[in-house]
Amino acid sequence: MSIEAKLSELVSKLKQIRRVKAGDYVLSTDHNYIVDALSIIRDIVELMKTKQDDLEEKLEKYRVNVYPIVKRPLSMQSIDVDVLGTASLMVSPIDISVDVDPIASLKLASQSYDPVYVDPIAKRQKAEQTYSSSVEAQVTKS
Amino acid sequence: MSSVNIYGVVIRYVRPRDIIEPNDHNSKLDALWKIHYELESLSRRIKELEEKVGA
Repeated sequence: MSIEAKLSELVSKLKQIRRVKAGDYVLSTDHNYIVDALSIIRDIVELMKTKQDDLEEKLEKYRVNVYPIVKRPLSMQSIDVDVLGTASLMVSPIDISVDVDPIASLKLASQSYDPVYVDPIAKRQKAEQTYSSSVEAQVTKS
Repeated sequence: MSSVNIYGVVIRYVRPRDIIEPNDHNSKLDALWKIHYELESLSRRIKELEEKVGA
């Protein structure tokens, strides 16, 4: 059930609760309707917590997948990443197109937050060397 | 259903002509406080989320 539906259920329950004056008896129905209302409020709080969890999860995914790329300076407008042979992306001031798998984007995120500056060209050359030596090793093996 | 459990506080439903005991009243008060704490924690989480997105 949605939060909105639960809220209207709460309103209709609250409308049933009598306001008592001095000398009035508080009836069992007065008590029971309040218990019902409390139970509905608890359900609403739980639904809101679930919704909050979803939003936090979505934000975390967004931060990992998009934010580290967008944060990069515009001088690095075009980045071709082929670390795992699965990731490729292009960033320009007008158009942002991203095609990155989760592992590669995590790698990107860690690079982006690296406090020590590493020359990206040297880093890429090193990655290519590592990649080609591993390919050579595989070829030699086979 | 003769009772509900609200964050660990059990509140009983009463039948017509049953006496509403002080414990029934106090349980409702306890449940209200528990809900208040839950809402306070949720409010903190929303505030953190707002800070993250810069709202």
